[in-house]
Amino acid sequence: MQVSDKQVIIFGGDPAGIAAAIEQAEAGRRVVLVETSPALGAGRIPQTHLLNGNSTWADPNFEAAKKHPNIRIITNAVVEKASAKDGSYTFRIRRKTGRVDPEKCDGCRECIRVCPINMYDDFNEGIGFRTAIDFFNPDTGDFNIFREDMPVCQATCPANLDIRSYVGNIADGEYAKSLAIIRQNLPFPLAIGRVCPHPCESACNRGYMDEPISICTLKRFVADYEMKNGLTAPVEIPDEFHREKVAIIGAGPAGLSCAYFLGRAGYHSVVFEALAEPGGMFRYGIPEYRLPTPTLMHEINWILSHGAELRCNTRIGRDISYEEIVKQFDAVFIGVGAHKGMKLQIKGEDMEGVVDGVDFLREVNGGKKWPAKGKVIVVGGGNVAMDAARVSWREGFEEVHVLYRRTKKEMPASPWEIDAAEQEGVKFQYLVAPIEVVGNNGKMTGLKCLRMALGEADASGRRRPVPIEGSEFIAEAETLIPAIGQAPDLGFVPDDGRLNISRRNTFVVDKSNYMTNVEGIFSAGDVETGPDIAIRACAGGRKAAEGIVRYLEARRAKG
Amino acid sequence: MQYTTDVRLIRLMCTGRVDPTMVAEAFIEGADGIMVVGCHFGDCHYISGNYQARVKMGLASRALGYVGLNAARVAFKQCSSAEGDRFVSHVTTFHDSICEIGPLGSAEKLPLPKLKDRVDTARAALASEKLRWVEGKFTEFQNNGNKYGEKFTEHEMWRTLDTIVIDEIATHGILKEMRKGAASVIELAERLEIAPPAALKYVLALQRRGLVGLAGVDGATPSYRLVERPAKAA
Amino acid sequence: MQYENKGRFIVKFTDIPSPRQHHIEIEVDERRNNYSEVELGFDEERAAREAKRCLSCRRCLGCALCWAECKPEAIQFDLQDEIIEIEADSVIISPGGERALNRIDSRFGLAKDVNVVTDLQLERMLSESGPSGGLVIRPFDGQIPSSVAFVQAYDGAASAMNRSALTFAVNEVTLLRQKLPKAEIAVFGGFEDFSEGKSALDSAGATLIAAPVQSVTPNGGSPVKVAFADAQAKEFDLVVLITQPVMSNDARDLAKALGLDISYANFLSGEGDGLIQTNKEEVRLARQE
Repeated sequence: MQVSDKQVIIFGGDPAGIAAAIEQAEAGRRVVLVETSPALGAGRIPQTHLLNGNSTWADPNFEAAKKHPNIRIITNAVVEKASAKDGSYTFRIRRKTGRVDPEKCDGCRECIRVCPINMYDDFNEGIGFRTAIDFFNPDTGDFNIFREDMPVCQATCPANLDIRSYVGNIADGEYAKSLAIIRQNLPFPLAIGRVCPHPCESACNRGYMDEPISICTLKRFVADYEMKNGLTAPVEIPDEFHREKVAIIGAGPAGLSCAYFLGRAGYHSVVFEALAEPGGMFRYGIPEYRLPTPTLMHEINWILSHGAELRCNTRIGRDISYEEIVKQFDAVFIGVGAHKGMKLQIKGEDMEGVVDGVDFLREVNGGKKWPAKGKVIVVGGGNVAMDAARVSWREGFEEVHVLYRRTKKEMPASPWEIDAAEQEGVKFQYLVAPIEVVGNNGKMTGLKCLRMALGEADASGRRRPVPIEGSEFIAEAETLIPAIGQAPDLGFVPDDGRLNISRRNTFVVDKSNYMTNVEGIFSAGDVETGPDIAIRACAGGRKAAEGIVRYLEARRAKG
Repeated sequence: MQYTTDVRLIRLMCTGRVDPTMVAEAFIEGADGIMVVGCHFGDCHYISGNYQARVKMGLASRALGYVGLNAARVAFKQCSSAEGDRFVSHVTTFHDSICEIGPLGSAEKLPLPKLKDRVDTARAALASEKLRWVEGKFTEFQNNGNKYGEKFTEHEMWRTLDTIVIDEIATHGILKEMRKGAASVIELAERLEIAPPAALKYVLALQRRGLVGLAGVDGATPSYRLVERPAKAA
Repeated sequence: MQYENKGRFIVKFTDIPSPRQHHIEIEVDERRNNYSEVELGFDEERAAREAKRCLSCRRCLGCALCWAECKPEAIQFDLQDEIIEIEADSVIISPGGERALNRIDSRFGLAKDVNVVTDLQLERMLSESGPSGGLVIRPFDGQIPSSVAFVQAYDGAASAMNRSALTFAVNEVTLLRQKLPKAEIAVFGGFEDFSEGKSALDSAGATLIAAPVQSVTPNGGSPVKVAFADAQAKEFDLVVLITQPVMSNDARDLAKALGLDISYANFLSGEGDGLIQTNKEEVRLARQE
């Protein structure tokens, strides 16, 4: 047969994909057939035409596809990269190993008779079960060992903490081992154990049986155990450090994580912090009653002992120029977070008495006693709004109200934070949106609001609030705290346009090493992802540190 | 040394020699309690015999507990050959606790033949290649890790063994019933006192392994029977 | 009840259910006008109790028993993933038959009663090489059902998807009739624009009930109650949910990476022959049967 050098790639090893593969191969083209599951797909009942006397199941011709010289089959495939350029398409495909050599396997099934592990049978939609080593599709007999890369809790955790091991070690009473496992991926067990909204627990399989494991509080427990019992946390750094130095801008969760992992890999870093104390959002965003400063500082001091130098009260662009830093250091990590509150974009927002949520929290966390009098209205439904409301209550406002334009069900804040705020006496007004700040002589006296109703679902799947006409009313209050979202403040970046910045005012990085488009400049945390949970920033800091280490090694190798 | 005459001593070279199936068999033979007493950890003449015994005894008490035997009837204690007083105290304490539990079957609230039948199923599960293999891997998994280099905590190891024990007891219960003849899922569930959906899953799993096959369909009821295979069983 | 999810299966451990431990916290009256830490975490006892609840979800143990048993020595634990770079002149995408299972409303009783299954599960049972050896059975007890209801468990699907879902269901009814000649088969669904489907149901001896289903009530293994129209209800041994086809995430990611503008309806357009062209030259879609 004449074989052309034209190559066709087919995604999907179901009957339609297999039929297309055979047809293309017969036409003389070279074919690559890519399937994500461990075997080609089973026969299917047609879903585009009705069965009649002559038609039957769509049965794939496995033999023809397997034996055809022009067809190469890649099962268990993950498409890692796909791109189209100049009429040609390139792909990077990972063929995950099934750990069974198909050339040697004779299909005797002895392995599945002895395998001690029963598992969910994906191929058969969970009717019966499969074993850990098994054929996937009985008709193709491709044996494989199914081994998930990570258990579901670990896969859900942004930092991929080995939860199964550290929880198991707590069950065994091996607290030091447990903590060591956590610290391989995260330097902040004390802080994260207190503030994390723990997506891992929502994913926990036990949640389907009774209630999920309290993973986050367990992490806090081992870290607390070490601190409260005066045990010394081990510092694992090499005897000798490399000569290169890394600048870290921002001593928050991302920056300090980056410094910690750089230290472990043998690199010194200098951490620049604009504010008076380190910690970033941990210090100035999370209220004291959730994360006490002495606890946080205990952890930060330990992190800094990994070869990092801290310079507080040093704002880039004011105390030292960005260019100076780039010149002095071999690599730069930017983790300045997202500390600029979003505006409500309503009339009267500049009046006295209006203070943004993140600014309010920063001031109070910084030690300022707020002149709290009368009523305060917090606008927003996220965790920052809950923090602002609960802090307001502690500062001594007589009444604290939270306005949210949807209902409790749609609120993005963690449910336990909402419950705690309610318990503390914070009043929630749902389906209300602010439209104007009203006041006298530039001083606010109230907030004009509109009642809302829930309409159709929007792209995010949440029902969109729509205003109810003529429902305006004025809520009296002396203070308004909008907490509807944050964005990074990138004022320090020189406006020469060299650094790629997204529309959301975040840095664009290559996810494989967290380097920005400028060589040697790395970034992670909220300034790269937009406002997100702390553990994702920590994970970003770690991955960026790995990227920096690879970058510096490659540079050294070049000489 | 003076202690109760209700006990019978069986001497072995090492506690590591006690196979979990022996414990099950002792109950089938009519014992009301079994205590294994051996050297202190770290003092084993054969280096790790008592560590293995710890796993084996743990597994035996879990499997027997799972089929309804009062797990307090199984005990594992340490004492050296020089500690006569300690031995007497172990024996006395264990004897008293067994007296309190009462004879086999009474605390379990099960007729004796039924309890023994269930203990026999546990024995078959304990004798299975799967449990023996994984139980043998216990210390290796903890200290050096498995084939993928993952180390297991003690807790993970026992959870894993528990899942296998539960699966194996159900599986061997079904195989035992089928040796008496073909049976439907409903009959199996009733006789083994397990939930019908679980019984169905295990029957289908045995069918997938080629150990069980469809015997026929009587009205709305399919029944299954053993498939003759040369040599090895599950 | 046992729980199953992709990749895992949990047995009924003797300690299920057992309650989750709650952290210790200070009273509300102790919190006003101060910043004392509210949550105090676990004490050692609670921590131990909570940690022991972890199920260490089952996975391949790496115990190598299969390896020890494998006579041809085909099992190799150290086999590594392989990275393959491929350059192609043209691309064909076939997305298979994914279903929007997570969007099924809880009133249809899926996962609450094992005798409520999806159309994909029934497809596996209809297959001769399927998990039950070609028997259609009730997942509760393995009995062969004497009455089966098909229930349309989605609404507001685009017409091509709706058509595809109903075609799939009608074909299943046809095949099911061959297996269960005497069973009562009822289909709850909207067939207004699908007269061929209606007549196929007729010739398979199935009853079409156009009234929308209000609820499917789990019944712990006894016949499942399907409530429809105005307070009417009927009981069935097995309920099959007709689900909505969706484009798989894999196909969607691929389309995005290649800059394609495709919707799932493209895959399902039944008329014509050969491959379906997309907005990109040299990228086509495999036509589904």
